[in-house]
Amino acid sequence: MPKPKVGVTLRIEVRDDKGRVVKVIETPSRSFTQNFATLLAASMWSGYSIARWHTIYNVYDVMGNQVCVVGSASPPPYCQSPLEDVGILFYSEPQYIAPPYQSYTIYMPGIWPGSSFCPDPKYAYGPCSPISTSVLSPGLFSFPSSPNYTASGWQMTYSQTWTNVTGSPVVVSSVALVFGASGNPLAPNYYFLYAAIVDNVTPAVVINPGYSVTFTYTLLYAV
Amino acid sequence: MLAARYRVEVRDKEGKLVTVIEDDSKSFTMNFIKLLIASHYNRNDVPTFAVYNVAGSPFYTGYVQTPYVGVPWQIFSMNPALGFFYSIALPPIWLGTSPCANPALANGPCGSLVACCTSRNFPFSPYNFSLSAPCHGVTSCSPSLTEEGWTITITNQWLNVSGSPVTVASMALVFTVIATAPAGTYGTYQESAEYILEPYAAIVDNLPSPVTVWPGFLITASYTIYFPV
Repeated sequence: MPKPKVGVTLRIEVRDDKGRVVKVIETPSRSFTQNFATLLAASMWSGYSIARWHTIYNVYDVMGNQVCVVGSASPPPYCQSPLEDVGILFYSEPQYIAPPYQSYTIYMPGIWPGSSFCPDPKYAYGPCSPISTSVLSPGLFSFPSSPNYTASGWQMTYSQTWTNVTGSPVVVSSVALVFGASGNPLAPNYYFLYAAIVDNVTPAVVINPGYSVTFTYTLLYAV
Repeated sequence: MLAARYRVEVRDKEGKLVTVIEDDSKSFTMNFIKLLIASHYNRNDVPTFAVYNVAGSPFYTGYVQTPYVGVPWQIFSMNPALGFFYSIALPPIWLGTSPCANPALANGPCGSLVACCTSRNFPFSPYNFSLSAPCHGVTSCSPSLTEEGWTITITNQWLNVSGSPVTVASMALVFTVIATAPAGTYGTYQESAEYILEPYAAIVDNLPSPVTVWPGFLITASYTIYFPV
């Protein structure tokens, strides 16, 4: 079967403290994560059916916490965070920070930077060695607001800018597109954070003090 | 997401393969993209998009116009939940007799709908579609890692039970969301609100040439969705 001609591109743009572009990298994205594909598969089914089939979907949030989707059945003992089903996969504008992430390195959906390369991005839970928001300060996460039909397909663009607010250079070696996911019995607006895409940045980019870096993921849906 | 391929096989009464068509899928639909975009938002900010079900009737994202799906929930569902202990199962690949003028803007397969649901009112009846089989037997319950990336393949088999040859010229991958409307909208008794299944086409494709399926012949349609790695 020939390889489909579609995919995702990652653009990285570094600007100096005067706003001048000093570096641009544009590369095909390599890795939808296993967590994303598993969550999507789980979201096809009702909790009633998942329990009936004795199926368990295991996924991991950005901190590596296991989330089990077990349907309406009783969860197995190892499962600390059971869900009956998966309802939302792309939650991007939470109204508050979910409790597990309030003291985490980064705490909201977006395009997260990491300081290390990931050994195998498709199995990573997020960027490797995520960089604290007290080092790279995040701007708003921009995500699609209306359908954009292009000659190449439906285009979905995600973007976020981070600024080095320390006095030292910062190295970015991996990035991840992170969404919130939700399901029953989580209350409305509650979510857990997971990485849908993780990419290594090669070569790594250095963000000097006062410089900013913008990560842009462009996803094309075939037409 | 992103890329998909379809495959259509027709087998005669003896199970002999008589037709195979396989190609890149051309069209994620605008209806799918609208639901996908709306699912990024919180309930206080979700945009209102008109989305059309396979019959061409509108429903809406957000909470302003009815029937509404709010922040769309389970937009890839083949098995919408109607409570904790009950859910509906729908075969996900539907077939039509005509090509669509613009599949990306189509609401479903075009021409007459000949394969859908489990009703006996259509020329094709689902075959090997089992409610008790894991994932209804239409797909593996978990994604597979292949050279092309993570893949999810959804396969439907349909048997021509009509007694007449049936032409298939378009196909669609149909998921179902649940919309809410004020009590009384659809005439069923509900105290506060009514819920309705809204099957919508996420992908629509024209076949390169129409396929004729004779009585007693089996047509197998599948979509494989790729997530690049």
